[in-house]
Amino acid sequence: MRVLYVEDNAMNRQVVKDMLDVAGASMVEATDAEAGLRAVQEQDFDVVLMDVRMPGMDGLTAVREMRKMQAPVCDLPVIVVTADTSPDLRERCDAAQANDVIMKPVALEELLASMGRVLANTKGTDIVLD
Amino acid sequence: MRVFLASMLLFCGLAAAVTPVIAQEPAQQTPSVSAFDEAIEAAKTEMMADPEKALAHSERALKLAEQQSDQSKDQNRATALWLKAEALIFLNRLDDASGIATEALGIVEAAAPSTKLHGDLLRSRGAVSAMSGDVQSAMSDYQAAFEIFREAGITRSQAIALQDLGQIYWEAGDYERTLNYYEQAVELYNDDPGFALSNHNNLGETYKMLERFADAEREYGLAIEAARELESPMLETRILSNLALVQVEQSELAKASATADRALALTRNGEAADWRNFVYGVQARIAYERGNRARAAQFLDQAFAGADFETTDLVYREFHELGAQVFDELGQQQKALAHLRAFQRLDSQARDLVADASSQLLAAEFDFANQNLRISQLKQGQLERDIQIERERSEFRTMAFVGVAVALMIVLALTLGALISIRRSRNEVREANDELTVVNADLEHALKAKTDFLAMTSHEIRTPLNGILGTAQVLVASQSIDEDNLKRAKLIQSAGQTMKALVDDLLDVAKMESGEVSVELAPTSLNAILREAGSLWGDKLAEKGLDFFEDVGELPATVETDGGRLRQIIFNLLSNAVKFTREGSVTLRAFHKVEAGQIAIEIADTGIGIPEDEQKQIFEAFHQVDNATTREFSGTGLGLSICRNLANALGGTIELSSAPGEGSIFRVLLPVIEVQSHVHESLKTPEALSDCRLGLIEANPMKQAILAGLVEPHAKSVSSMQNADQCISMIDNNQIDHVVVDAGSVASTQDDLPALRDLLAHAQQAKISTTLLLSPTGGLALDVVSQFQHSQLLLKPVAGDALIAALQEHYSTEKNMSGSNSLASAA
Repeated sequence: MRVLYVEDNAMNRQVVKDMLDVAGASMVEATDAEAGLRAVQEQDFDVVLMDVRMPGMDGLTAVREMRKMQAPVCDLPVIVVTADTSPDLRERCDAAQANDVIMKPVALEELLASMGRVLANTKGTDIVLD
Repeated sequence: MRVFLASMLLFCGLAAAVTPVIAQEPAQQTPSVSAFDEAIEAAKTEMMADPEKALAHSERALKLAEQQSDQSKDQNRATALWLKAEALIFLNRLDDASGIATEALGIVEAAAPSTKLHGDLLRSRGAVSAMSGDVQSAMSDYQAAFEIFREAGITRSQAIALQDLGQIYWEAGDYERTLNYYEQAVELYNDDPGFALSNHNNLGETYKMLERFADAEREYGLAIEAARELESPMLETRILSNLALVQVEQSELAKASATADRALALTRNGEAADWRNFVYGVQARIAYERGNRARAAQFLDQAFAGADFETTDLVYREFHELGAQVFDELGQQQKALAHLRAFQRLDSQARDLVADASSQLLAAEFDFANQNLRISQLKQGQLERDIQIERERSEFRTMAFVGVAVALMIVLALTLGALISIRRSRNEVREANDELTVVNADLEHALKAKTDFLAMTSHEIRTPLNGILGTAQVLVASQSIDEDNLKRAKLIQSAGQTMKALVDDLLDVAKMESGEVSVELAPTSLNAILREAGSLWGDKLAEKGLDFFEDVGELPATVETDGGRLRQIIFNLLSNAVKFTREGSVTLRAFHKVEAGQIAIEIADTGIGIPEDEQKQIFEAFHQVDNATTREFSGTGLGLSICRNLANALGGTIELSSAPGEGSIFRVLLPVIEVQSHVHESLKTPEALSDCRLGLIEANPMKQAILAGLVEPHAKSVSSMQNADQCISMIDNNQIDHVVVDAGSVASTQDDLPALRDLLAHAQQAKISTTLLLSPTGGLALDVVSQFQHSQLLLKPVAGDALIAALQEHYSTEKNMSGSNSLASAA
């Protein structure tokens, strides 16, 4: 399981990296949206975790950019990870075609549950349990 | 003597100006001390320190004088009465003092007119008049006293009378005349250092008010010399501080700095040490004028180190004002607000001082010569300042920290409310209306600021919290640390969760205020929520040594409500009950009020209770029963506000009955919207995967999440478990119908196989279907495992669709089987 985490805050990246370590998934970091967009084009990932508020391009714009790219990037499952509590957040995420939203502080179970849900939804039953 | 002089000088304004005469009197003592003289002497000695005693001594002297028969009787009576009047002035019993002084004047005018005693008595009566606000009477008495002293050739007393007169003009704000009198006083008499100090300091203060800073500087210089002669570092420090502030006014910052350094050096020890913080305040002012805000902030922190902002002294008023300015400019809004609040408190204290004549002495003390002037100016300038304060208030938009700042916001909003009412009475209605508009706009700003602030804070606090909670969770989950450190990690986790709950609460309140409470009604099992609450809070209550009783009556199995929100209400109320109960019990009660069509959920405690007049307010946000309570029982006071809002959002209400000392009962009343119960269905075997409550055992969290995500759309519900024990308890509690078991998660080696075997046997016995996933390369012997009881066995790796298909097939097979069974029996 390969995860890309696009997040400007180093502490947040470390926390999620540790969590994914525990879960047995590997994580690649991108420190801003532009770097994230480069990474999805250059490497293969199973899921992308995306912060919203970042210097430069914001996370939701980055998701919209991804959706315009060629397959398989446009189909990559994206989970928005944010501390933004504004009431219209979910709507905005849906509009950007993100697959799921989880709130910071990130809880391990929530993160994994979201990843499981998103993977099952996007890859359907192509998943292989080993 | 030095100490006596020092305190005398501090009181040298107003009524206190009388006392130098007393202080200088002991020299005239006769060698043979009679009982009368002794009483007079004692009265003089005690005058400063303990006026009550002085009063008693003067009354004793009066009695002794009454018993005399010689010619000195009347004069002695008058002397005793004079001291009695003085003592009464010190005790602020002005009416009594006035009567006594008039009586004594009657005696002395007949027996010893135009003597020093006559003049002293006129000064006493003048002081009473001045303190009562009768300026004209005071003036005529002081002038008469001056004439008497002049004719008698007592220059020192003359000079004091001139200071009295100057004082009156000072209070009236006429500094030119004040200066006139003070200058005459200096010319007349400036011989002893105590007097010189008072003279020059008075002059310095007057020049300062006239903005003749160079002259003020010179006079303070002379006052400092006098203070040195008096060997009083305390007085020297105070005058040096005054000097430094005047030098700041002249932009002589280097000089001011040197002066302040001198003052600081003096405060290294002895009586002046008390003034060190004040000197830091002066240095803060200097640093600020030099444009060094950070340094100013440092000095301010030193000036107020360890200070309780609720109780700082009036002399620090200006430094609080400076603090509000400096910290605001530095963006440290929390500190700025604290200073602003203290400044406002002292400002209103200053106003009270004017109203309260006895406090005028105090007011005089804090700046030697008659701070009253400042106070009257303060009064005049109040309006401008109020507006200024409001302006500053509305600028405090970006806040630093949640609880404190929000609470302060509210306090300040209340303060503004108070200011409005003060000013309404003070001004014309039209003016008041104009101001109201301003204030309302500012209040709106404040409210908007609060909302913005909450949203921002929530974001800003969540980020560090992410680090705290996430790392703690990783530590706990990684199982790589020892027992002790695991405990610590759990502690961090729990503290972080508490903080997260607090942020969530604040956010909830903000949303409720803007009408954004979200409620999602769905069929909900009340019993399940109550059971969960009971088991969770039962433990917490036991930890605190409290009894917990549950009394749940017959309830509809399922009602239409928002389970999450209802849980939040019940948890909040239970948390409150635990918090405010020191001993006794907490009871969770629930019953169906069939006629009313309501469900009642009660949380009763034997805690501190709530007084009747507080019972309505406690549902307001941020409210807790009195401050003392807040200190003993920490919390934001948000819980009940949230509960009420949520109960309303669910179509219900909250009632409270409580008595202080006996406890409280919170009763949540919810409308019953009964829905088709699904409870009985759990008793029969599901006929399709979609009716099935599925359990999953997978130790690897990532795989577990994927597995859950995969089966979730196809099953009625999914419960993830990590080990066999969790599964067995779920089976026993009838919470699942079917379990998917990853064999390797239960038995990682051949040795663990019995655990797997027992689990499968247990499930089979409970008529729970089992789907066993086994990796042939995982180290478990296939031929052994396949012997265990199971409904299905799939070999890994297994494709997602293959698993779903297998599960669905299991049910269609079951159905067919049961169908064929019934067919068979029919045949």
